[in-house]
Amino acid sequence: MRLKSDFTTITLALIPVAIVINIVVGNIVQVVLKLPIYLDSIGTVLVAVLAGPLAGAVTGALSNIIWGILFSNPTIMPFAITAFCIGLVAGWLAGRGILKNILATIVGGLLTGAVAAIVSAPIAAYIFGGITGSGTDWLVAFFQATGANILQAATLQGLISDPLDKTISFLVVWIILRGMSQRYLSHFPRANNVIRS
Amino acid sequence: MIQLDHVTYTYPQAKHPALSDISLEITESSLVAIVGPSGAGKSSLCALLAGFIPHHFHGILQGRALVHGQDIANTPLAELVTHVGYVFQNPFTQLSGAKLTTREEIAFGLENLGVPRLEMAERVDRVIELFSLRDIANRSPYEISGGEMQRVALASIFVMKPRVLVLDEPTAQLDPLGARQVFEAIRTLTNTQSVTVIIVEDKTEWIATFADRVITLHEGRVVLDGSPDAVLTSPLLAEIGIRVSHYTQAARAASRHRLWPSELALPTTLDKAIDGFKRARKKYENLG
Amino acid sequence: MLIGFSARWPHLPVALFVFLILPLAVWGQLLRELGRTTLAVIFPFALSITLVQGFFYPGATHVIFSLGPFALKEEGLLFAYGTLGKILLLAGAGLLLLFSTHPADLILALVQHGFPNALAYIVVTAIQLLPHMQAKAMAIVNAQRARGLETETNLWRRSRALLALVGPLVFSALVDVHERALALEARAFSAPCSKTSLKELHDTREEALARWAIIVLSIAFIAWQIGGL
Repeated sequence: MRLKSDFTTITLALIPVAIVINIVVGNIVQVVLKLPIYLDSIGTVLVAVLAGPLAGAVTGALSNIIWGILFSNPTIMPFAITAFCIGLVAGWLAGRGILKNILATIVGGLLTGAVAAIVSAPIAAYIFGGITGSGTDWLVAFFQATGANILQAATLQGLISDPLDKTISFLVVWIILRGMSQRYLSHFPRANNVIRS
Repeated sequence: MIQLDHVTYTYPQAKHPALSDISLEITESSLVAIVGPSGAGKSSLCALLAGFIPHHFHGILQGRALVHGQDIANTPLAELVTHVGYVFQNPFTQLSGAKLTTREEIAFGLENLGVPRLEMAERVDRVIELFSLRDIANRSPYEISGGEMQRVALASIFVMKPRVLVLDEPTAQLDPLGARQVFEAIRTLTNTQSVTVIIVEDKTEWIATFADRVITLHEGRVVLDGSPDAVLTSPLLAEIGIRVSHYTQAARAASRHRLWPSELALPTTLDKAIDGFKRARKKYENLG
Repeated sequence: MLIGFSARWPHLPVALFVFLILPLAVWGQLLRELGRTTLAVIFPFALSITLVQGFFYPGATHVIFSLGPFALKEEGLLFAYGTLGKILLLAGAGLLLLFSTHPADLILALVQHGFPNALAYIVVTAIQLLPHMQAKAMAIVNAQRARGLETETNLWRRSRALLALVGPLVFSALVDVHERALALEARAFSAPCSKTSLKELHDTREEALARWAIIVLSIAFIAWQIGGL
C-alpha cells in the first residue's frame, strides 16, 4: 500500500517541517528537559499517519541524517535505518486505524517501539559494540554481566527504552491531531487515517 | 483575459457560499484593485483566479471561470500557475526554503518548469534588474527584510511570465518602509510590463492614485465595479464597513457645510483634495 | 572542492585507515576542526565501551585487573579497541565529508546523479528552517518559564513541562504547511516535466576518477575480507 501518489505537494511541504520538529523536540527533550527519552520521532509518526508509511519512513531516515550533518555527529546516522522502520510501522498501523482511539494508540506505540528496538540492536551491536555513549549503557553492562551476549544485551536494553519512547510519541501525535480541524486534515493523502466520520 | 460567469463557490462543509453569482470580465493590462470587508470573499476570489479553488480546496464550484480561454476547473493546476501568478501575504512561508541565495530562489519556478539553464539565467538576471535586487542577489533569502522578501517573491513569480498577477494583501505583514518598496515594485511592473495585476489591498489612497479599476466585494458578491474615483467615493463603502480615504471623508464633511464645490466629485487623493479646497476658496473670495 | 566521497568500512585492520583519513584532512586544511570534533564525538563512546565491554564482555576470561567483584578482561579490552577503531573511522570519514562539502552541494550532486528532486527540496528546506524553529522553541520555553513552568526540578515536573512546550511548537509549525504547499504550487513545483538547475556542479576528471578508484578498491577489499573469513 505504499503508493508513490502519497508524495503530493502538501506531503513534500510537510516533510521538512516534520524533520525539523523531530530535531528540535528531540533536542529540547534530551538537552533542555533532560528526560530519559529521545522523543525524536514525533514528526516521523505524524507524516506516517498523514501521508503513509513510505513518506513517514523517508522523514525518519532523513531526520537522522540531517541531525548528524547539523550537529557534526556521523555516529547517529546508521540509526537512520531504525528511523526508517519506525515510519513504515507507524504508517502501516495508522492505516489499520490505530489512531482512532487512545488505547489503540498506546498499543501502536508499544509495538513500534518493540520493532525499533529489534532493528536497532544489530546496528548497535555490530557497529558500536553495543554502546550508545548514553546513560542506558549501564543496562547493557547489566545484561552482559548476567550472561547475555552483546546482541542480546543491546536488544534487551532497547526493549526497555524504545517502547516507552515511541508510546509517548504516538500519544503526542494523537493529541495534536485531535486538535486540528477536519478541513485542515482533509488535504493530506492519508487523511482518512484520522478523520472522524 | 479573465472571464467569470455567474460563479458561485462554497468551501467543503461550509454553510454559506464564499462567492455568490460573480460575473466579471477583465480584458486589458491594468491594475485592478479588490476591496471589501473581511470575509467578503477577496481571498477566495484570488484563490479562484490562481486555480487553488477548486484544485486545492475542492468544494462546490458553479458557473464558468476562464483565464485566457482556459477553464479553471478543467485545467491542471500546474498549467494554470504558468498563466496566473500568485503572491502571498506572508513573506516567510512563501520562500521555497530550498535555495541558499536569492538569485537561485528566483530561478526556482523556472527550474521546476524545466527551462534550460542559459535562458533561465538570462531571465533571472533581467528580473533582478527590473526589481533592483542586485544588492541582495547573493544573500540568503532568509537574511533579508520583509519588504525585500516580498519583492523577491514578486520577482520569483513574475520571472515565470504569467499574463496575470494576483497579489493577496502583499503588504499586510510589512512595515511602512517595506510596504512602500513593494508598492514601488508593483508600479514598476505595471508601468513597464504588459501584465494584468489584481491586488487585494486596503490602502485606499494608494489604490486611488494608481489603480485603473476597483471592484468591491461584500458577502461574496460584487457590489461596486468601476473607476477608483467612482467606487471609492461611494457612500456604500462606509455602510459595508470599508475604511474610506481621509480626504474623501474630509471633503464629504466639508460639502455638508457647503465648503466643497458642489460640481466637483469627492476627492480620493491628496492632490484632488487640495485642488478642490483651492477652488472652494476661490469661490468664496469671488463672492465676498 | 566538491567530491563525492564514499569511504567503506573494512572490518578488521580498521586502525590502519586512520592513516588515510588524517592525511586527507591535512590536505583539505581541516585537520584541527576534524580532530577536535572527532575527539568530541568519540569520547562518550570511548568511555562507555572501555568500561562496559572491558568489564562485562561475554565469555571473556583473561583477567588483567581486578577491582572488587569487577574484573577487567583482555578480550573485552581488545574488542573495545577494535570497535573504537571502527567508530573512529566512521566518525572521521563522515566528518571529513561533512566539513569538506556543503550539504546543499552534496544533495545537488546526488540529484544530478539520479536521486529525486524532491530530496533536494526536503533536505535544504529542513536545514534552513531549523534555526527558525529552534528560536521559536526557545521563545516558547522562555514564555512558559515566565508563567511558572518548571524545567529544571524533578522528573515529574519536567515531564509535565513536555506537553506545554511541544504542543504549541508543533501546532504553530503545522499551521504554515498549508500555505507552504500552495506557495510551492505557485512555483510550478508539481509540474510534470523534468527539472533543470541554475547552479552547476563542476566535476573534474580527476575527481571522477578518484571516486571510481575508491569505490572499486572498497568493494575489492570487502570481498577479500569476506572471502578470508
